[in-house]
Amino acid sequence: MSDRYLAVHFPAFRLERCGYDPRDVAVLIGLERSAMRVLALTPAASELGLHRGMTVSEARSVEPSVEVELWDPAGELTDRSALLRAWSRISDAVQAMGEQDLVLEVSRTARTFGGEEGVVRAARELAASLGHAVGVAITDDPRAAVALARRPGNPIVPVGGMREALAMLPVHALDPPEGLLASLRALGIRTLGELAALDAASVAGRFGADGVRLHRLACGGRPPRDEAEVAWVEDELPGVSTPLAGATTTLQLHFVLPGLLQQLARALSDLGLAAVQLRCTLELDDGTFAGFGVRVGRPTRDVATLEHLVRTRLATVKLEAPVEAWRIEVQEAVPSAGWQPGLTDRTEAREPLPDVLARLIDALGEEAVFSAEPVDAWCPERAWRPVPFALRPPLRRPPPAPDDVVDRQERWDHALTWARPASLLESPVLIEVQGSPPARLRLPTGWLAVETATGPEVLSGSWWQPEAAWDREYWVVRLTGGRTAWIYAAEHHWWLHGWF
Amino acid sequence: MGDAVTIARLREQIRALEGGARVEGHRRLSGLPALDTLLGGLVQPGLVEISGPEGSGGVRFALALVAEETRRRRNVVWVDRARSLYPPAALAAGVDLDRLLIVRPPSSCAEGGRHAGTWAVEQVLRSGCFGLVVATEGLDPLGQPQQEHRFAGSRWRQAAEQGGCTGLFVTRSPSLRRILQADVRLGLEGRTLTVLRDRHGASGGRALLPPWPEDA
Repeated sequence: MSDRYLAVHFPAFRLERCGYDPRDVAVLIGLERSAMRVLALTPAASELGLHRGMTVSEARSVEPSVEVELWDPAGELTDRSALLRAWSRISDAVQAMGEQDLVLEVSRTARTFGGEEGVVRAARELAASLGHAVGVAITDDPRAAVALARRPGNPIVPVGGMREALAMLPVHALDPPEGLLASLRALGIRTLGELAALDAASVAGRFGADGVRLHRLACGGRPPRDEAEVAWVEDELPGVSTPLAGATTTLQLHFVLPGLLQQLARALSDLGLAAVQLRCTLELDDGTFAGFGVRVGRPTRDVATLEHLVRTRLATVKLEAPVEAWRIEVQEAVPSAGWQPGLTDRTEAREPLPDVLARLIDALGEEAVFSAEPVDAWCPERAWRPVPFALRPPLRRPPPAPDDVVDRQERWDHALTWARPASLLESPVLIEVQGSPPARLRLPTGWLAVETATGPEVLSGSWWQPEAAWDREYWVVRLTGGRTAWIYAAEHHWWLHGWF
Repeated sequence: MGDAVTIARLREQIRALEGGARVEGHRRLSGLPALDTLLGGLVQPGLVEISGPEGSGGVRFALALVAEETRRRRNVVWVDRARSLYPPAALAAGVDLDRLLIVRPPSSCAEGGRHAGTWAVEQVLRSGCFGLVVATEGLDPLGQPQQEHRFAGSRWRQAAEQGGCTGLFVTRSPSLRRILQADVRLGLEGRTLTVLRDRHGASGGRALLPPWPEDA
């Protein structure tokens, strides 16, 4: 059975999601090339002569009554993800192709709808229920299906009938590279039918690999298999990859992400696994690689959760070169098991705390996310240490009896402890001090008078190791202006160590 | 009065253009009598700023609020962009360290460090896992307040609204103050807490905080 693809074209999605009808004269604007320009428009606005790239004032000069909507990228991304999930009712293999098109692989699911006519009917009903006007087409190739969905006509192209269906379409309908399009036009080749009539060998010689791909499609054949997603299992862990033909923005990566993760989720489901850690690798066209890891707080194969985590990391990626392929591999997985929220979890949180921690650790490193534990040490900077944050704090031991001798001694010792600053500098700063006790001190910003000086508190340690021995005389100084600093004298120098 | 009404109307128009729904914050008791008397509590969701030079008590004031939160068995996150929070002092202030998550983004001289702090603050505000998020100002390699992205304040505000939490910012520099546009701005001089600005209330009120330990 050959693969069959349903393409759904949303001519006005970007404005319909904002509440506009395709018959409204409305444009979506955003900052582009230092001006607010039209990014998308309704079909009605297009018919009046408005087009992408116009400034807002140019658009108003053509049509004064045009309605203007400011682009909300985050909202649009959320709506696109929701749209993809909605279409998984028709097929579990859904992928976005460009800003206004979806492609679904329907050869396995058409029977459920009573054949391809049923699929087309279900697609139109679903689009109407979501409030979108769409064009649909079913054919053997996804790009051809998209090209046909954008134009009126019979939506179902029979198997082997692609050449005839594409013949009258202009060559730009299949979105060829700019250079190839210009070359074809220069030779007077306007339609795909004219291109298909050319000899394959001469097309290869004159137009190269891109021309061969376009010619094969125009002739009703399938382009080379490398355009499809690939899934594999290595060392019992799955991975997926997809070629990207030189993607230059992360927005293009966002478009293919849901399809990739659905494949990955299917592979995890087949293996009975839930992902703990993913590795995303981008192959760049200069031969280098860019990559990032994604740690999952709770093992999951839920597409929405994985999508959210990967999108967040993707937002921090800068592309140094066009992307040729994207690979997502599972680096760590566990047998899938259900997860029940704990009885003491705060269920009103919008995101589970383990997921937040995992995302912070992924982005900043394990050493950047921690809790603190006091250490019994005299040296101030060694009086605490970082420990992993416990999702459930340990149970407290019961308080000691009131007449406990040890407890009474500890409370007495604690009462003698000198005040400690709220902020301790990572590295003490060398300063100048005048007077004993300190009466003036010179910070990097200048001299300040000391109103009160409390001390000295003498701290020392490691006296048995000459190379590690330290000996400091600490003072708490209140400066004019109400600031309180913690300074110490050691080895004939003064240092600023912290602020209260 | 006319100017204030006009400004409020313009703010609302900008918010509508940005696509944000109107969010009405409410006040919840902080547990600090001085603050609750002065403001009626902490605005939630919203941003609160305590401004003043180093050593003026802003961090200690924040620790007092954190102590109240952890005493109520709530987790708090402290985004320590200044990389100087001293946990023994937090313990002495009554903070339950088991409920304090400290996030110390890479310093601004590290690759990607400059934006890591801004990103971390936004993530924890938006998560909805914490009722209180405290953030200190980032420092550049010379130890001076780091120049913040001009949209950082609006992004943090949206994140706080989405997460339903209070963001408490301890600031030093006027530039961050302008970017932050906090709902409430407090000043601390000695033990005197002053309301410098309250978007939904009256400014100028003062309260005296309890004596600091070194004054006892």
